[in-house]
Amino acid sequence: MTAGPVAVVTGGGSGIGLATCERLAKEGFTVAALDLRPSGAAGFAALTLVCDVTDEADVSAAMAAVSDRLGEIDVLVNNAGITGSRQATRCHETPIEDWDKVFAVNVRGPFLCSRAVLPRMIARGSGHIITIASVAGLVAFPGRCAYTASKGAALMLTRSIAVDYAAAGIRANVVCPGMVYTPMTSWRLDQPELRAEVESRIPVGRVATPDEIADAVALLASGRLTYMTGHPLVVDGGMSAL
Amino acid sequence: MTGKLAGRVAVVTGAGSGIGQATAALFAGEGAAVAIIDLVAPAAEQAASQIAGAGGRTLAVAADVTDAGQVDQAFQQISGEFGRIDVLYNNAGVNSSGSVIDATEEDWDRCFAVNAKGTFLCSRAAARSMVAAGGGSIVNQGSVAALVGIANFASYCASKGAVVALTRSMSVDLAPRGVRVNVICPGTVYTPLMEPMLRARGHGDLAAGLALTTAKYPIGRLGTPDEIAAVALFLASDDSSFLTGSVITADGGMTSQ
Repeated sequence: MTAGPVAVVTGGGSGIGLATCERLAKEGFTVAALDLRPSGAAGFAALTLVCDVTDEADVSAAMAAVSDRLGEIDVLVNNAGITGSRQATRCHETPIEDWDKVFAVNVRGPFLCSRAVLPRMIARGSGHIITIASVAGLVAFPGRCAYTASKGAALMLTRSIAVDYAAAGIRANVVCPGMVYTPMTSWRLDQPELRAEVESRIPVGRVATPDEIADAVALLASGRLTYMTGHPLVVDGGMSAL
Repeated sequence: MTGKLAGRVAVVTGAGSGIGQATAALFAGEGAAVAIIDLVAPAAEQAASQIAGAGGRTLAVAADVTDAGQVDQAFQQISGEFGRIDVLYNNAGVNSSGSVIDATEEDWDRCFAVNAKGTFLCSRAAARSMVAAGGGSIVNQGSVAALVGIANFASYCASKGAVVALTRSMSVDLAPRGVRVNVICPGTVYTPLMEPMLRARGHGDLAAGLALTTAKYPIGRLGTPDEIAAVALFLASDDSSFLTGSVITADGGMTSQ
């Protein structure tokens, strides 16, 4: 068994997840990074595991491996997520496969992962679940039907967990990032006209770096906010305040 | 059907993310049926379903390019499904970290297994089909790291140098058989593969690592996956009919200074 509380970060191989692995490791957590391609976290995570969060067997095996090798899981960061197809599609234009894929990763993933860690958290009387949703879980992004719906679902799933497990000493909160520069979004943000259009709608005038989202996750994971649960922490440069 | 690859069958390795994914989508948009090979099955399937959702013909194959048996089986499956192979983009690759002093042996072996041997095994399997069909185009993934030294990147630089040399060798062997072989040397592109290296360069600060890296690029920015995909399309299509054994740098001027 190792020192330091144990944090599991899904989608920890790149982007917000990678920044979170690094930040939590700096804060003294022992970090396990789960991802389809986790090797990017190898410098920061004590353990990297290939895991498809949409697959129940994969998730059970991964969480068991983490608790066997690193110890009881104190923090789960449900970060793994996808945006869906690059083309903006309204509801009637959205392929059904796209909807299913987006929901599988963005909603079923956090459901399966939370489900796997909660029993031990209940037994210990403590634990933190942090879901990375999006401001799209609060306000609709134009042409992002499946993504918007999935992030609303992820947010409410986490609130449901907050309500059901509060008496058991578990806190569940949500981080709602605005636009963040990551490998998943760089195809859009590297195009000057598209980037300018995005930034014109953000009061601080720029998109976030992954580290700026990891800062919010670290605050929630620290356990200092003992009275906060079921809350969506919006980190969007003022975008949804407009 | 219109498009520069209309009616052709293209195989892209490592197409579950990054440059490979962008290229697979571009090839499909230009009329090719695209087979996606990736180590990670869900990533391959997701990339394939995005292409299929946009109306393209596609096949996802999970395979480890370092394993000859898996490679041969994958290419047999692809030939069986589509009947032919016209284009192969050997994009699958891994990074390394460490100078010659502190790089590990595992790091070296892994770089060479995926970057060099993977290219060799996939090319061998594809070339057989291409030669039998009378022609084809193989595009390999080099790097600016094959051309200039980059700090703390020993195994990666060496393995990409091997890919460039292999490209020249393949081009000589296959030219009489109608198969062209060329290599792209991209500069830094912001993909999941590159992210840890960029972060480490900034001593943990990604923004700082990005800024330090961008400073080496006269064009003032890093490349995008689509910009490399565009070069791959040129080399895959008849637009490059007189090019074989060529080394095409796509690096925003990085190796020109």
